[in-house]
Amino acid sequence: MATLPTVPSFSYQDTSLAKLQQLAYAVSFLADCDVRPTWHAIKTSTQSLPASTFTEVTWSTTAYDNDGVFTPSLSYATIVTQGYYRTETCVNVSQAGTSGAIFQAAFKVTAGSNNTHHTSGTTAYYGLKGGQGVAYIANIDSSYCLGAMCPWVLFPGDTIGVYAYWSGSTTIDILSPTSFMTAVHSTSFTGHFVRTGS
Amino acid sequence: MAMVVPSVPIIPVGSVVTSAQMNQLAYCATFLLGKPVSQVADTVGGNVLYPNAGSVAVFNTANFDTDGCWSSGSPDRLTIQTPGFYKARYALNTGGISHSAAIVVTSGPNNPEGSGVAQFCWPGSTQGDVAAISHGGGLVPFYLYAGDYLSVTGNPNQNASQGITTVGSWLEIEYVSI
Repeated sequence: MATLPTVPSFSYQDTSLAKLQQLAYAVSFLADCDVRPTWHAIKTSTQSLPASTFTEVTWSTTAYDNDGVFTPSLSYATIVTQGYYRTETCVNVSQAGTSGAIFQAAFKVTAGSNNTHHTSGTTAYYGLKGGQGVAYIANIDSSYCLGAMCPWVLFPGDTIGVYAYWSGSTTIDILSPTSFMTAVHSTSFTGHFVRTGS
Repeated sequence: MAMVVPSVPIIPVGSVVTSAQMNQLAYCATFLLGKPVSQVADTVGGNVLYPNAGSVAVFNTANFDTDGCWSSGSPDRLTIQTPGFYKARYALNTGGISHSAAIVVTSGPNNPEGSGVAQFCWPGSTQGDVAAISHGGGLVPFYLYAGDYLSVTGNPNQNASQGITTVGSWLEIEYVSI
């Protein structure tokens, strides 16, 4: 779990090493993605997508996850460090011969027991993108990339998932990732801490 | 309410660092940990957008607005309070009506370009049926001054009302750099 920084205040002729270290940690938290909560989850196997149902996209592995948000479950990010977060995702859907189908993707946030603004279990979609998938062409996926800040301040135990919707039965696709670098173009889910919040 | 933009202290070689300089440096971290972010949303729908008319979306609530960029009196915009570089992102929900959309950045009285200069950024489009939600955004490609504002313009292929199915339209900004 990342520790939220406390920025020190300096007094006249202050020689406190502890305060300097506090300030150094604050800078690390802001400037270093190894310290500030950041994650990138990727999908390495396809997933069936039932017709006309917002379905949670599950993840196969993480390229990085310095706050352990995928430790409880690979299905969604479980927030560890309180604050505002930005999330981004790319979702590829195999058209399976469907032309003009409706395609939507969004994030869904669910409040946990530590959330002081929303009752545990409260949910909200955000960051939605939607429309018709591309006209059917063999071997061409419909792909959406979307991003948004979560509309809530997030507390430890809140979760964020990626959801996809297709008006016919199909599969969430992958682009045959064989390494981290090829997987970044596949269905993936990225997030990071933006700022403090209460 | 605008935040004070931090300035990183210059500490010459051989000088004794003052507490004022250290606090100035500390404020840089404080500013970044609490930097301006705003996100406004439409949860009621119904605002009509017209083809080829430069219609703009309206928002009825702020999900968060740490810098006071949105007011119900000007529900179609986020007005910059603290100057700097920003990221912006939007979505426009027109129910099932095909449309194109973009963020329009308009200069205010503090901008050296003068007031009223508009720049379209991140056009997006979507083909409708039962869902038409365009989506786009990125780093605003120029410095924003206090009083500059951002709106979402939509150009539907027929008269369209803002929709709220699943998620309504929204607009957000995030401070990036002094």
